[in-house]
Amino acid sequence: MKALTHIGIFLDLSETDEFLLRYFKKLDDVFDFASLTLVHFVALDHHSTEAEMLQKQIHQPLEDLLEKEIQDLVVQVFGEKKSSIHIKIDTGGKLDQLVRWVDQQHFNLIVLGKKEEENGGGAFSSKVIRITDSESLLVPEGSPAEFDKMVLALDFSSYSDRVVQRGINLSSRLSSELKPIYALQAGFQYFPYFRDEEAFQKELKKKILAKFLKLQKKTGLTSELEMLPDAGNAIAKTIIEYTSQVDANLLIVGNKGNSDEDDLLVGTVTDQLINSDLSIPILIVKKGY
Amino acid sequence: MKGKYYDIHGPVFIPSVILVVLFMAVTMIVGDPMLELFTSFKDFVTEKTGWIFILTVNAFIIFCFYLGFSKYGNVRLGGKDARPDFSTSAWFAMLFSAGMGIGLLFYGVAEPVSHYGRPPAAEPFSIDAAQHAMNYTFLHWGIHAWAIYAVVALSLAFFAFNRNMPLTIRSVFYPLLGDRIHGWMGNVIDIFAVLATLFGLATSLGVGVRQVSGGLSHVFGFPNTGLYQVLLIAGITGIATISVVSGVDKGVKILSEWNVRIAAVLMFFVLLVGPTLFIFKSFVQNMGTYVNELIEISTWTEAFINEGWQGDWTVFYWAWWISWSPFVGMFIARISKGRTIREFILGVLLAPSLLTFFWMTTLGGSAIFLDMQQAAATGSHEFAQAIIADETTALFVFLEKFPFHLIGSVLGILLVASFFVTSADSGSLVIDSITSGGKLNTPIPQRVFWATTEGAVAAILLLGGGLTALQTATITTGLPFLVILTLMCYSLLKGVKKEHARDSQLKQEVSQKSYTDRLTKVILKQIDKDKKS
Repeated sequence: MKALTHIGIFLDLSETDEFLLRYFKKLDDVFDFASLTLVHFVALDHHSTEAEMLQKQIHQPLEDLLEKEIQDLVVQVFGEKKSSIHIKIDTGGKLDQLVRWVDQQHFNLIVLGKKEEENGGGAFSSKVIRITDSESLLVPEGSPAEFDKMVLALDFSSYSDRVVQRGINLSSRLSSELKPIYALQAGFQYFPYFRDEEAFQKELKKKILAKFLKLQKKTGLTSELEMLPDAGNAIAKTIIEYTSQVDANLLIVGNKGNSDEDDLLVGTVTDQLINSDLSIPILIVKKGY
Repeated sequence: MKGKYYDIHGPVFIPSVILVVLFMAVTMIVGDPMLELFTSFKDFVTEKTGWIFILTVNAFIIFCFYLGFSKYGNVRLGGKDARPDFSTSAWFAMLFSAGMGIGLLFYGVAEPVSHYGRPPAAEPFSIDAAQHAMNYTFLHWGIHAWAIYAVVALSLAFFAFNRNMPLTIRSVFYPLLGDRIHGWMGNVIDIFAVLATLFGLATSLGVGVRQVSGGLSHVFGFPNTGLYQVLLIAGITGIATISVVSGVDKGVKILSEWNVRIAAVLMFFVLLVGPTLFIFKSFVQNMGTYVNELIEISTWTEAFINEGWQGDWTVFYWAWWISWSPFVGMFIARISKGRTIREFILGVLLAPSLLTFFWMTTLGGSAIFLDMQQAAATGSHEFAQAIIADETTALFVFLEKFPFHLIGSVLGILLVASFFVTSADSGSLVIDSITSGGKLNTPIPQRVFWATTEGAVAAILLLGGGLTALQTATITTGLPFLVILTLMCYSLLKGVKKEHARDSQLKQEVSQKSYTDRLTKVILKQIDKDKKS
């Protein structure tokens, strides 16, 4: 897995921008990223006629104005104009083209903010996360920039390897504690057939443990697996409850799970997590296209 | 690897050249026993794996229609805002001329008459045989052939235009192999593509040169020997090489446009001077029979009587089209940007098929009609038998029935030679592009190398075993490529599904009201500043 060196951050002219930059500055202090690209998409729609009219009254292209605005923010946060920070303003109005451009840059991570007032997390951010092929980090506004406890949500699909690798990769620099978890769930298909639930759960746990040992051997992960019992909830909910229970400050999940349906851009559990009121940052590991 | 005279992708270029040279050397050195080996190998492949070809090619058609008529049919090649580069009629014309070329001239008369005289399951020269002769010909040149091209072309176009990947076969496998397409697996795929293209092209060139030689011998009494054919290959390859060296892409373009025009003139000539009414009537009837019996004849595998007929015809054709598919596929991909998948499937499967059917009915159908008339008058099938006896002269024997036949025959010979030149030229461009890792502007000596190699492969195969050698080479490289094509379908489906999911995600509107407010604030701040200063 590639180390984090090239990062893209989506900004949207709101207060979240400053928060995101400050959050990221903390990481930059540790990682010293080779490059940081601040991406801004000028999203106009039918509400925007006034803005378009006003735009004609300024004596410079909108791109320049916005670039300056963001540059000012960079100076405010980082204390200087850093040469490793680039700004990309997209006025083309085509989000898919911007996301394609982003994917072509091969960022190791793209970062998006999630506003408090938008319950269920910024529609724009979750849209970008769905269509991009880049690994994405969704940061809820106000989450503290601490990294001492990371939860790795595993399902032993092909994504789990990457989830663990990314966890190890981050924890080695940030000296965080890794907490790999697996949410147990009795498949509905077993329902009428298994009589002895206890024996079934035991058998299931044994199987999961064997898979985890294999994963540990492959990735060098040393932490123990936590199996979250099936409380009849949706898996996403079980995971969210666990993260607040252990006071985690980052959740790492795979983009999709075992079924890896091509018709879905993001797996159902991950989708629920993105749209939930989860209050800590969530990192979505992707496989590339 | 790059130098003054070359710019190659070594891991594809070098193994490809070694394999080709090895194949040619063995054919030359071993000589006659090689012919026996070719024959038995071809028989083995067609006998044991023919059913796989038959099954898979049918599956391609189902796959194409599934893609075209499902929700994925709306996915546009080049992204949702792309628009076609060519008008629909120009697109149809280019599709038609891309796919068949030499084969149409070689088999246009020969194939229907051959099925009529030597039917696989009917009384020779009977009405039943005549109807089925047209039907088998339609089968071989119809939507099955175009479904093979469509699979390759659509895959190439999709990954090149929608995913911005280089236009090489390996790109198509990205959803399956990921970054491994840049490693040895990708190289193996490209090597197969090179070999398939080279042998498929050599077969066409071999077929073309036999026809030119047969025509010259028939019309002017020139000798028609192996050596003479090789000299002809050398001569025509020489012309192709000159066109490559001079870099007159325009010349080749004009030549290929004229090829289609002259072929059209030839067809209209036969249509008007020949049995016009019969041609129109039989075109309608043949189409009906084709549609009606499509499933039956396209799944027929000689299961109960094995006469080896299918190996020489259906299986050979499927392998031939497969081996041509990287070459034709790349061309079709390039001209199809901006089409939706639905337009693409309907256009590629139906339009050129219909044109080909009309061509076949005009030439082959007329030949059968003329023979039936003659047989009714004299009781002998001399005319058809003369055509069957030597398929290289079939077209010329047929044209003798028409006025100005000398002009017609010379035109026919020139047309084949000209198709040869354009195929060799564009074929070398495709192989060159694959062996250089998807580049298009490689040094000229490299293209000359491939143009001459094609000629050499065709010549050596002709000398070392004639048509059987050509057919064996085609079928042998067609088989592994069939596997590649099948995987290609799966990979394409994965890619298209994701594209569709992205498109529908993008369509969901997000209200930008609060964003607009923030943007307005920034602009107002600037206006304020401007005023103050």
